[in-house]
Amino acid sequence: MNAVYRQGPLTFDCEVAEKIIHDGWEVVLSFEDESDGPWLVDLCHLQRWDYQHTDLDSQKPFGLDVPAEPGQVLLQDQKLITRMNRTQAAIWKLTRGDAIKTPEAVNFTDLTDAHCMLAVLGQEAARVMEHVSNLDLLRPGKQAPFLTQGPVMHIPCQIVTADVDCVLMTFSRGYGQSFADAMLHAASGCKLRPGGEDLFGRWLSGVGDA
Amino acid sequence: MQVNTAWRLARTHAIAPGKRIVFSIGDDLGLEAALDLAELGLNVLAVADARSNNQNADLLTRLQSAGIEYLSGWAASSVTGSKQVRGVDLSDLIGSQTRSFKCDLLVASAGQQAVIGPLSTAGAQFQYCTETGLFEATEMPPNLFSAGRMTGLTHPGSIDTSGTIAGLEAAAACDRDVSTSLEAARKAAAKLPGKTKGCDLVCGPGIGAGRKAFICFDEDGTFKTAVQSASQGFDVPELAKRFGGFGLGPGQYQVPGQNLAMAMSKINGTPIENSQGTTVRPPLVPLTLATCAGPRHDIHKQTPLHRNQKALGGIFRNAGVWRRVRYFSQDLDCRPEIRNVRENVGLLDGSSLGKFRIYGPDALRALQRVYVSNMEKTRQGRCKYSAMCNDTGNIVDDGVITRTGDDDYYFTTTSNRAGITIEWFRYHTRYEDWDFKLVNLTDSMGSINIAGPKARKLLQKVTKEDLSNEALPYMAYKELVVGDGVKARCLRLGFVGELSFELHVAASSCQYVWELLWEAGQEFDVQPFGMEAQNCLRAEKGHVIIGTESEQRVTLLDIGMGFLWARDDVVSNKIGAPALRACENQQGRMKLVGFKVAESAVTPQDGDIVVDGKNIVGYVCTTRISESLDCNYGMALVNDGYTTKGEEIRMCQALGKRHDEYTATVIPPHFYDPDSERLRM
Repeated sequence: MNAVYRQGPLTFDCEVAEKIIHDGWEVVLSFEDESDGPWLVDLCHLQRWDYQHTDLDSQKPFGLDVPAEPGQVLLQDQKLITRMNRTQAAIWKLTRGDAIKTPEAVNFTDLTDAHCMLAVLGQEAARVMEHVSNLDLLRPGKQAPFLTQGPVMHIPCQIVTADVDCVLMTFSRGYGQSFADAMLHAASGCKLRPGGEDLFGRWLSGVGDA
Repeated sequence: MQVNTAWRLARTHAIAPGKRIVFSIGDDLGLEAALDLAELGLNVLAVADARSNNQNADLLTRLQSAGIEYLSGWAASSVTGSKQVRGVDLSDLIGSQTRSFKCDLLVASAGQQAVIGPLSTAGAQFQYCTETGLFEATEMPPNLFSAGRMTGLTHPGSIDTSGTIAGLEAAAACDRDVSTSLEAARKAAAKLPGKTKGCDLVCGPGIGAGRKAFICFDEDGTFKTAVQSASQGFDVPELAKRFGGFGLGPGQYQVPGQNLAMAMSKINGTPIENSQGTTVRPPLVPLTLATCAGPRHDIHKQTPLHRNQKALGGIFRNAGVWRRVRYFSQDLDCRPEIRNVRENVGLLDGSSLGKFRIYGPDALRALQRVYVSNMEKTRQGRCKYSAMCNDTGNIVDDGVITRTGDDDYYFTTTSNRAGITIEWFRYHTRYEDWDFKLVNLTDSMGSINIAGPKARKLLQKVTKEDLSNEALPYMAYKELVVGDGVKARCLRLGFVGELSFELHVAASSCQYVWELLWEAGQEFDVQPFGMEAQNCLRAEKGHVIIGTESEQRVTLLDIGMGFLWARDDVVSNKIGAPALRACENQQGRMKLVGFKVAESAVTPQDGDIVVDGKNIVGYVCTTRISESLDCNYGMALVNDGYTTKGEEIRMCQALGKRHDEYTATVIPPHFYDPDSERLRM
């Protein structure tokens, strides 16, 4: 019998420099010739949950504070929690670490496999996004991180502007491969290229609250 | 050249638009441009201004100081030169005087009009105002307020204040008391410059005589065409628009639409104040060439098993947002795939199936509302098949529901409906204060359908769970562990009419489970099958596909699925129930029937019509070659009176101008294994 493995929704067609197996996932840590960016990083293996509660303000999923208003995002304990609406929040675990078991509470639904999660990293991150979406991801008056829900290349996405150098996106998993291919093509003028997970780790380690 | 173009060339690109320049303009922006170019050192010979009054006096003084000849009430009447402008004739508007200038550039503008496109698309009505020279709103839709250049204002302070007023008016319409602020803003506006006078139709002495007096620059619509239009009875702007194509380009109502209204007024000799412009339609902002030149990315959904399917030779087709395998060989009848499911075991990638979780204290009430069946009967460990109808009783979705915990349910929908299922629930419970939560798990889990008489033996090889008919009977639900620890939800169903197990597995583990089944299934002659084989198999069993065997003229009852409807439930306010009640005994409704074609020179096709003499009495929804009957069979929607079992009906196939008829015999739709013994084996 073959060993259990887990397969993400997309692969990048370029040479891998370093990879590891984590919880059944093959995670690319770095690619050959990553250059100076900007980079598109596949983070599908990171755990994500949906959390819904009628009285969401009173809740502390995983001990995290829930943002007070829809569109707000909090980065706590290397987890990112976004508030989508009055009753619903999404929780993204931003580091591999040990896998967290989904709590028994009815309000949690594990959505790790439901979505494709990508990061656009690098100094040109915001400019890259302007090639693929007319959403204003750097709108004045909004303090990063913040959530935008809207289309990127016509695909409904949840987009977190983490800072000017990092934009995180989740969208339906099935779109993963064709979305990533289209994004790399559309932003080829900005020299967008695949990047390994290490790049995201370096960005995260530079964020104070994480 | 237009005023902005000349200005931009000089100011933005530092390119002289011409060496000797003549202006023919109709507003103060033209005067400003002439002065600016002159101050940059360009030789501006003269400015013809179509207006006789309302000019900015300061600008006129500056023109005089700059030594630029200014002709009020004049316009360009002709231009000489072919590849380059050689000279311009300027005339007064009645044609009594003409002056010629040798130049290499004519800068022209027809003046300004209010930007009324957005208001027009919102439903406002407009009429020409002789006092302001603008098309002004005479009737606004309720709670719509306009400001800025929509109203003909051009002064920045006036535009700002008009915005404040419009905002306050909107607040007042929402019952906010803003009367003091509104009064103050109106007082402030009264002290500011009002509307800039619009430009009348510049109609010089030559206009109408030549061929190139343009009303619409987008579509090359000329004054002459407008005269022809009127002479042939197309004498109002909306008709002339269709005759000559005026305003069909991106300019729409602006220059072309307003020019046309004024031109038609002049041609017909009717008062200009009665003229109305043409209707504006979206998009207000034209598509850019850059957009058209951009790449068209093929963004689609792939199932978690896409790579496996491709490796097995799957031929993909678009299925809604998904890309799915239609065939596994070039044999488009898929007979080997079908035969293998009937005799051995087949694997189908059904991952596009909609999958949802609904939970919360009122989850059951929500299910009762949207499904036609009594959902209280949904039990743990069992699958309940049911359908959703719309308000008119048409079936819009079907799937299975199972209870996975207290107030916690898992249900499936058709692939096409998955994207709108949450909105459907929310919409139909919007007046209820119900506490339930929905999560879309469609992409979260892949689905592998193991179907065929050897399906149990195959699945048993990869799990230790008891899969016997007693432990996991037809329509049962069980959570299994397959292979080396992968959790799977197992639904024992039978869409293709055979013993079937549908495994729902986390998307990232799907490929592993498929490989496991593939390896284990070699001794049972396992083969993959695609959507086309599934379509043939389910049609033999008489299982409908929504939208293929149903449409807006037929209800749940008409297609033989009335057994799902909890008719006695009047408490849940089920969607579609009133319509179903109203038509359940109605005569003359279309019905779904099965049919077979024993012998025919014509190969029946989907969409063939059912005829009675010259009358069309139905159509073929699906027809294929039956592996079990060894003839053509299918399902058709026919009028009442053509549904008797054993009756012969005539069908007709149109091939260009040829019409070939053939005979079919009505049979029950579910003729394959009518007692469903194969599903329960």
